[in-house]
Parts: sequence; C-alpha cells; structure tokens
Amino acid sequence: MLSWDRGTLVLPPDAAAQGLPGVAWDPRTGCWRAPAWRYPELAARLDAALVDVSASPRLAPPLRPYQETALAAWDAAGRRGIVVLPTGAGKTRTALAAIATSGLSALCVVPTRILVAQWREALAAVGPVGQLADGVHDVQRVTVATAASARLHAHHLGHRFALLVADECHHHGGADETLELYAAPARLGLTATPPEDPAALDRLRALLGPVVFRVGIDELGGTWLADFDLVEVPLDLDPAELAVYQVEMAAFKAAYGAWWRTAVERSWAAWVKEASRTEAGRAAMIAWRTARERVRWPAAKDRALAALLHTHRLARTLVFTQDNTVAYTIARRHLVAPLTCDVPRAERDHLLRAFADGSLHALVSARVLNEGVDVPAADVAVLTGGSAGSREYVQRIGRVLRPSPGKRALVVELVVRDTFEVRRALVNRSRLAAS
Amino acid sequence: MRPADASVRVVGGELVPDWLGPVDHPWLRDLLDRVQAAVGGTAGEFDERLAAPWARAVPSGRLRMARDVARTLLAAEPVEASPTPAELRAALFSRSSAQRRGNDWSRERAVAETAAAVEVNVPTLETRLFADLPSERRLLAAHPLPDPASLALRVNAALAACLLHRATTVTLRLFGNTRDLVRHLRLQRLLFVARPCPDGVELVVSGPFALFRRTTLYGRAYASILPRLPWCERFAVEACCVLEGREQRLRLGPADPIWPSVPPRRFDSALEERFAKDVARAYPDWVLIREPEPVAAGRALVFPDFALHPVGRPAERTFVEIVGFWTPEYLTAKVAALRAVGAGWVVCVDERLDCGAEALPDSVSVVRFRRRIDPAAVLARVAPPPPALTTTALAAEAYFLDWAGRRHPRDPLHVRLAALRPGDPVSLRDDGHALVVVDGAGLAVAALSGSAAARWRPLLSRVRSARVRAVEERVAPQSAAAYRSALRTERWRVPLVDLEWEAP
Repeated sequence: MLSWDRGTLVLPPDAAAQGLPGVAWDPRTGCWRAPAWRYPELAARLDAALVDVSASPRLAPPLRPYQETALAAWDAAGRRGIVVLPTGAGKTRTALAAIATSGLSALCVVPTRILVAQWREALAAVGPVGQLADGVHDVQRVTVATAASARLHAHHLGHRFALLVADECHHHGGADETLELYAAPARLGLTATPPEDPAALDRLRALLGPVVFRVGIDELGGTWLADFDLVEVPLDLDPAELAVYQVEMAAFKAAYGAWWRTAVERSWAAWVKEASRTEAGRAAMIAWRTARERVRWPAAKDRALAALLHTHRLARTLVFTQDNTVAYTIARRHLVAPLTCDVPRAERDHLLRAFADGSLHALVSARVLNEGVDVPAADVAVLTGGSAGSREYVQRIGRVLRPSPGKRALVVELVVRDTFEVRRALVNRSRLAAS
Repeated sequence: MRPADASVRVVGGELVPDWLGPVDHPWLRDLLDRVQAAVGGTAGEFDERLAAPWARAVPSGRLRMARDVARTLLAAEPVEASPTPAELRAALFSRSSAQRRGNDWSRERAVAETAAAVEVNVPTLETRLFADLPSERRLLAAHPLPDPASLALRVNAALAACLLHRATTVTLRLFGNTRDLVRHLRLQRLLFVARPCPDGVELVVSGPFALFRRTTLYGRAYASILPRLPWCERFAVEACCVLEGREQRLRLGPADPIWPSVPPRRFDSALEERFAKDVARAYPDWVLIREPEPVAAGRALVFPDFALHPVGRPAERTFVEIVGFWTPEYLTAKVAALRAVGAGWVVCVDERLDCGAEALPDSVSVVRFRRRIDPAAVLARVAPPPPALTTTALAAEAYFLDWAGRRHPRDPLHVRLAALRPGDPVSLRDDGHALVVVDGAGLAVAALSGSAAARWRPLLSRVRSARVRAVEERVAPQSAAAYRSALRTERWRVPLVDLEWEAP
C-alpha cells in the first residue's frame, strides 16, 4: 500500500487516500503522495508498514538520575520528544541510552563534521556505527550523519531508520527540510538552547515531538555540572586606539542615526544596502569596520590574556575568539594550540587528547568548540570576543562545566570599556541568567 | 555564492538579474589587481584584502558576487616539507605548555628549543608553523587571470546558478539536442512532465517533495541544469524562485550569459557510435538521425535513440531504440508501448543482457545483437509504410480518340471494349510506339495521345494502378474532318481511365 519515493511516501492511484494526514494527489505521476515524516500516522491509518521497526534492545549505559528521568519521559511520550539539557550534561549519553534500550535502527543527525567522529565514538557501545559525512558512505544499523549528508541521502535512506536523533535540534526549527525527509516513527531531539521563536518551536514539536524534559544549569550546578564564577575584566584601549575608535564610531553613528530616523525598514541588512549606494554611506561602513577592528584584538586584550595564561598555568584553559585570524594571532604570540575548523581531524583528536592528559594546558578556538564538541576537563574559559550572539555565549560557558571533585570553573570575559562590547556583555549575561 | 549575495532587481513580479557589464569593468579591474597582489600571500590575507573597503563606488551585491568568484581564481600551494607543520605545532605547543607549568615560560626560548629539537632554524619554524592550514596556505594563480570582461561573464553565470538554487520549480522549453538534458534531469532524480510545444518540448521540472510545500531542496539540481542548456539549439527557462520569503519569476534565455559545460557526449556508447558509422558507410541511401525530436506518447514524451529513413523521404522514418538490461516481459511491454506511439519502431536488444529465463516472443520489431548492431538486420525490419498515391483522371484529351475507330467493326477490339465496365482494372503499357491501355487480359483497348504519352512515359514505373472510370461512346462526326477519312467504323468506344501513381 505504502511505497517509498525519494523522501516521500506514495500510495497507489486507487487508494482511498482523501482525508489522510499530509496526503495529496500528485498530478505529475498520477498517484497519492505524502511527506516522509507523516509516516507514523499513515502507517497507523492504513495498517501498512514500510519502516523496519524490529528491535534488538541492549542494556543502557549507567545514567545520572536526571538522564534516566529524561529517557523515561521520552519513552512515555511514545518515543517522540525533545530533551533540553545544558552543555556538558550528557546529551550524547542520553541518546546512546535511547538507542540501546529501544534497540531500533537509528540515524543520528549532527550539525557539524567534527561532531560525527565524537558521536561515533560515543555510540560504539551499541555495535558498529556507520557514517555519512566527510566523503564516507557507510550505512549501518546505527549511523551518524551531518545534516547536509542526511539531506543529500534522504532519497534512498529516508525509510531505512526507525529512530531519528537530532543533536542540537534547534538548527532544524527553520526552513531546513532534513527531518521531513525521514519516515522514522521514533524521534529524539537534543538541545541546550531551544529556540525562543514560537514558530520554530512549533515546527520542532511537529517534527520531533514536544519538549519532554528540561533541566537548567542552575539545577545541575554543584552536582552534575561544575559551579562557576563569571568574571568580567574591563579593559581600556590604548590612547591611540581609543582615539581612532571614537572618531570612527562617531562618524558611523552620525550617518547611521540620520538613516535610522527616516528609515522605513529598520534592519541592519536594510542599512547596509542603503549605505552601499552613497559615498557617505560607504564612508560610514568603512568607519564602522575600522572601529570594530580596534576592539577585535587590541593590545589590552593581548596583555590581559598573557596575564591570564600565566595566572592559570596549572589549569586547563580554553580561549574563545571572534574569528580564526585572532585565534592564529594568539597561537603565534602566546604559543597556545589552535583548534579551528582548518585543523585536520587527526590533529584535532590529538589536541583534545593532549589537553585531556595535561600535556597541553590551553587551546584557542573561534567556533569549533562552541557547540557539541566534548572538551575534557577544562577549568577556565577566556572569552575574548564573539559575533554569534547569546547562544554562542551560553554554549561557550558550558564547555567548562564538566564536573570533577572540588571543581569550580572560571569564566573570564574580556570587555573593552566605552565600546559596543559593554552592551553586548550585558545582553549576553541576561540571556545566560534566563537560560 | 550565497543566495543573500545575489544581485537582482524585482520588476513587475519578475526577477531581473543585475548582470555585470562594461560599466563594471573598472572595479573588476581593481578586484583583479587585488587577486594578483594576493599571489604568494596567504588565503587569510587574501580574504582580508577582499574585505577591505573600496575607494570607488561598487554596488555591494555585485561586489560580493564578484569576490566569491575571485576566490576561485587562486589555488593553494601544496605544502611538502619535513618536519611537517603539524609535527612542528605538536612539538612547539607541548614544549610551551611544559614551560608554563614549570613557571618558566618564554616564547623565544620555547621556539628556539623546539627548532633545535626538530633540526630546523627558527625562521623556518615560524614560517612553516601554520603553512598547511587553509587560511595560511600560500596562494598561486591557478590559471592566467581573466580580463574584466571574462570575469564579468563568470560572475553572471554564478549569479544565474545562485538564483536557480532558490528555485522551487523550473519550466524548460528546449529546441534540439534535448536528450542530454533529459538524461541529466533523471540523474538528478528530478520529476518532469514533458509535453510537446512547436518545434520542441516543454519540461516542467520539480522534485517529489515539491508537492507539499515551497522548497529549495532541489535548488542544487536545478542549478546543475544551467551549463547544459547552451548545448540545446535554443532554450527558454522560467523558474519560480524564493527570495526574501517571496516567490518571484525568473526567465533565462540564450542571450543571457550562461557559460556552457563541457559538450555532452555525442553518443551514449561506443555501440551507438559504431552503429551510426556502419549505417553511414553501408547504406548511403538511408539517413540515420541521432536523438531525433521526442515523440508524443499520450501525456508523456518518448526520446528515441535514432530515426532512420530513406534519403529524401523523411516521412518514412522508423525509430530505433537500443535497450539495456531486459526481460522478455519488459521487452514485450516496451514494444507494445512504442507501437502505441503510432510510428514504426525497431528495438535492438543485447542478447547478453537478458535478465529473464523465458524465451523472447517472436517480434518483427526486435533485433538481437551481440557487441555490434547489424544495420542490415535493422533495415530488414524497417517496413516503410506504403507511399502516398496520387489519383489522376485521364481526361478525353489524353487519348488518341480515333484509335479504335480506325479498326474494322468486326475487330475483336470492339468486343473487348464493349465488355469494359467502370471499375475494371486496366494498366498502361509502352508498346514501343505508343502508350496503350491494356485490359485484364493484357490486350490493348486504348492509346494515349502523343502529348499524354510524352508526359506519362517517364512516370510509368510510378503508376501503381489504373481503373476504368467511364466508357465513352464516339461517333465519326466527332472526329476532325482532316482525319475522318482514316476511320473504318462509324461508332466505337473509348475507355476513360483513372491512374493511381506515386508522385515524386
């Protein structure tokens, strides 16, 4: 009755399909068609099966109490739902337990290639783990794929898995179709930062299920997550740097303010478009860029980082930067190993092992460590700058919250006084408190 | 190129790509200067150089597009050195960490000690430390840099592809050489509904999931169509694109700057190529057309491999289809389906690719082959339809009307004439002196006039049949006075004949 066609479910032309959920007549091929994600409802209504849901359960790994509660809540919700856990609280382990206890074939969709290796290693306990990423096409009963690869191969794999695990599932709250192209009836979403936009949450609810369990940093702090101190280090630009910043920012604000007062659509994109059309607008954009350059890696941040690296020389320190250029600057000047998207996987693994065993005392990264990467035993995070908003801020702090006996983590934020960084720090901290 | 970078205007609900042209050449020259200056530097420096502000007015959308294309003009220099940069990093950063833990850190000392340990000098270590990372790789010009006009065309092609990346459906109107494109659509796993349009074919292309919602899931596949279009004789593209949340129409045609892909293969296989050569060599009076225009088959179109027809008679064409793996059931169904199309078909099957156990049903339309298709076997199965015949009624003026009147009344000729009835079959024969009409017994019953004989003698081989239309009575006074003395009877008959013949 049901057959598979490139990310869709097909019913024969003579099927009594009108009124079935998600089913539409396809005049192109003369048949009824439904998107793959509607499979559970259709299979139940038509009493038809397409996805192999045979199970070979295994023992779950030892779980912390809140992980057990999360798993039970997901099970009770019909194996559909989203689990919200803070960074470092063991989302991957919870997924491993879901895969093991359900015994279903599973596809784990992760946002980046770096996370694929980490997930494969974590899932090795349930047997051979396949991979769809980095040019590797190895499909096993349990397979890990980047979202891009999962989307690319959905046309022939979309009906091959009974359980779909979406790591950092907030990425799927937008227009991305990946989860729609799979028929898996069981679904588990994992995130530390669910989207605030109600439309995105609704979409995740439809594709993965409701939020079935949520716990915050404050509830786990001191027991399952390390307590931490957040310290802001205010810095001053050197007089020459400050003079340039003030002049350039004043020039920018004058033009931007004039536009703002008359603009119909007040968005940054609209401003950039408008600015590019006039000499004055282009000059304002050059001024804005120059001002930000002064704050990106001024001498004061460089001196402060040198002092912090010396002070915390016996701790394991992660340094977060705005971009790779600053990361390499720090790597050269302070001889801190860079862990960026440019670094090959083997070297990345070596760096993380060396950091874990203490032969490297610090790593510097722009974005790679923001999300998901399991960083062992970091004690100190130094935030030197960022541009990806409050979600990035929360995730970076989460990197040092892995607990150990007697540990109290330290997060140091370098903020240049009298610049836009002051306001940004305030916003980020209020979001952290809300999370 | 990112969709947000697409430089495009909306005019009357249609997307009008902001093609780069001569007016853009000055700043493209500046851009190429930046590219040239980046040769030998690092990729990171190049990115900084590209992002630096511009002195002259450059539309931001166009600049972003051009920058993306400019990045493709340079390639990273391979790093081949020992110790490798990764080995240098591992040695240097672990030494640095050890020094820090011992409260004994000095950058200079860490670098110098590492350099000594790995047996390179300090400047080499410093230079090579990150030389293998993408943003630190030294850049080379992959090819001679283009001139501004060529760069503008490349940017335009990238813009067109970028817009098609945002397409939800695409309609193609193709004229000539369409088969490669149709094959490409299938490889891209796209659905298309084909219907004939004057001189060509219209394909409405979409993906299976497009039925449910506006999706750009197939954008990459749509964009891949673009460089293949120039290989059609003519084409027109109409795409529905989503930009800033709204659907807009995009039209592209041969006049737009679309850079072609490599030419499609002329033949799908060596087998087809050899068959074409064999026909051309052995049968010069036959014309073999590769990939003729598609043939309507109900709501769909069939794209034959070849069409074959006698020289000068294109209406007598037969289609030739070469099939891959097959089973007898498949082949039977295929032959039936092709016959239903309404034209003549010969299906060639490779005996080695038979996937069924049953015997192939006898079919006049199937030619078996091994490794090579025999043109003679194909032509033997080509049964040209009967040619269209023309009917000509020979009027009275076409006859030597006195011919029977000059025979005696008791001549058996008059008996044969009296027996003729309208509809009786007759024929024309050249008896050496005249063209005569002969009856079913092969005996002459009439003769054509000299002028009519001159007209019909060269066409005699094309006359397929002749029948009596009417039998006219003649009497002596109807003859011209000058010839009346030659008559030997007062009354006689003349059969008037209709000819069916094959016009040249």
